[in-house]
Amino acid sequence: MSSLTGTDMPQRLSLAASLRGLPHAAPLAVIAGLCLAGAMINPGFLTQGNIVGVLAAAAMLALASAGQTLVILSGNQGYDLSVGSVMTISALLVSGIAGASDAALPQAALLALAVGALVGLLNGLGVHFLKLYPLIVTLGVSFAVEGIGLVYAQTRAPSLPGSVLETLGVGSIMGLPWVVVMALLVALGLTLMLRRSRFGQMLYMVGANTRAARAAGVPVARILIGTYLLSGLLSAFAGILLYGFAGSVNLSLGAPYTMMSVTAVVIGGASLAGGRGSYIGTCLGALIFAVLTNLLISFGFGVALRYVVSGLVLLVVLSVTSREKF
Amino acid sequence: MIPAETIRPTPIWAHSAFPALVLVTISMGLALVLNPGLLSPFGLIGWSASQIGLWIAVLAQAMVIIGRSIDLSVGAAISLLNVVAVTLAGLGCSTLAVIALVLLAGLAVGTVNGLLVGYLRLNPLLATFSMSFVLLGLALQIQPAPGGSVAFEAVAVMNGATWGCPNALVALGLMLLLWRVLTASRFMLLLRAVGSDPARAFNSGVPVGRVRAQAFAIAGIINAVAALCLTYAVGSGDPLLAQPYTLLTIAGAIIGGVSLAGGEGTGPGAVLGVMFIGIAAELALGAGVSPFYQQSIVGLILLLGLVGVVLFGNWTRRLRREAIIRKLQLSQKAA
Repeated sequence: MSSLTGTDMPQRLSLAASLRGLPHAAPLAVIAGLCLAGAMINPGFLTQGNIVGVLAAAAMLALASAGQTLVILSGNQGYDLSVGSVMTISALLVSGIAGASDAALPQAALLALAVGALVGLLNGLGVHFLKLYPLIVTLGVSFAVEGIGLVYAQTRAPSLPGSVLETLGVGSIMGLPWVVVMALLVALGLTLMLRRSRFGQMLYMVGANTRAARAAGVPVARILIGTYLLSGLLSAFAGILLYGFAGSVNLSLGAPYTMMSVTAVVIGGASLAGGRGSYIGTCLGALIFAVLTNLLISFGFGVALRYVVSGLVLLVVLSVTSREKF
Repeated sequence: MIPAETIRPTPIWAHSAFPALVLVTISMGLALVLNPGLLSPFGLIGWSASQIGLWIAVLAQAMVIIGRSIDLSVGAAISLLNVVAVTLAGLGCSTLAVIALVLLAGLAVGTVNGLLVGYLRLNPLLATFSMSFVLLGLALQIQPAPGGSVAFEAVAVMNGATWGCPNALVALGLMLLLWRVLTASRFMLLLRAVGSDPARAFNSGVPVGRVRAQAFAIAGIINAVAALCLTYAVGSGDPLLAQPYTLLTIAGAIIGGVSLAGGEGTGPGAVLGVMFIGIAAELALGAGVSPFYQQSIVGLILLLGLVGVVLFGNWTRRLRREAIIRKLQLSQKAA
């Protein structure tokens, strides 16, 4: 429903028009503008340390938004509001089972991924078979998951992540944080899946027009349920890494990521109506968020003003990137 | 084939608020068995004063959802207004001035939301989410930590009773009366049209953007009333006080029969829905389970409530549709 399709406008060969043809022109322009502003205002903005920090924060948000991207692409008013609670419970599980030991990490991670996939499957079944709004199903499921997380957390003492997970969370390889490497790997995998695989192509078809897709023989049930399942799985994966990234776990660890992921996906150029968007776009959306936060901190804004300004900037970005017909 | 005469007008159980009414009745009965003190004058005053903010806030959420929007800034807005009220009181404003200024502030917040959604045509979910950042930031700027106080007399009124009826319940009754007046208005008719199908409403000449903006503005005023009731029930300020309200009002409105598809639902139903959530928490507490399990149980009840109510609503809608189709077929046969 974005107004920037440009098909019904006369084509002009101006610079702006040719720039608009570039993929991801709008988010890239916003990032460039923010970086320019940052470099002018704060001499420390373009130092290696700062850039690495921004990239790591962006990568964490991009990983958390991976599942959300797929669900929003699948259309039919698809949102996954259980992203945050799945991340939290997956971090809680890894923390509770593996704790600080590396030996138990594989089992713990597998269990966390399985729980994430199960939650995603429940969401998918609810959306497809009960014909419920994704918002309602995923919100209800997240209430239940949060409650279960609290019960689980009650019996465990909080522990620090093991050395492997800590390295993945805050360590780096050849100057590049591991989370960034992870996000790049996920980006590569998801982009290949969306662009090249049958599943990815069918996902775009379902998102663009479910009825037409069904008429064309797309197994809509499998695609939709598979999408929600993948979303749960990817959120659980992000939750495991978030445990290493944050260095500790609490009951609201993942909560902020729910709506931030929706925002990152939309700022990245995906259509909330479904069927249009890409994971690379989401990564750029996440980068906008991270650069913006960093910029506001370097201004010396306190927490309160940072919230205000980031809300205002989000509104401006949204009014540029995604406006609706009605 | 059923003869046309047997098709009765919509039965009571097909009303959108019916499931919430049943849920509230059953859970209230259970709660009274577990804790008979709940309906004692003292218990009722305490309970209604602790819930009144949520009861009124859900009316604002219902108003917005009926227009097929959603408001994710309810929690942040009410927290901000709470802090504003306490700060104004601290500056020496009289209670009447505080009430007037908070109502104005609520109207302002609602109007901004309305402009963003109605005129800039931003997606309501994302626009109000971004607004919640702005409002949270403002609240933290005005008062970074819990504290402050408001006029003691007003707190006593909010936590008191008139002729045995808790004043919080009186406030709820007045708001429901106001809702009744709104329901009869032309605005509400247009809002329901916009909610049911914005494109058709637009083609019929309904100013879709303006109606949506008005809905947010009115919701802003209702939020201000909720904030005032909450403030005088609690007696102090906290920039994060009402944060849980955002999701609770959405869940409550849906359980109360307000459809996310827009156009359908009632204010009293939404209040029943949110009451049910409150009673469920009370139940879990009264049953003596540890607070850890309490949230888990409430979470499960919420999930089942949400899913059950929506499925039941879909079922009754299908029944009604089929009845209409049968009626049409019969009349065609007769012709």
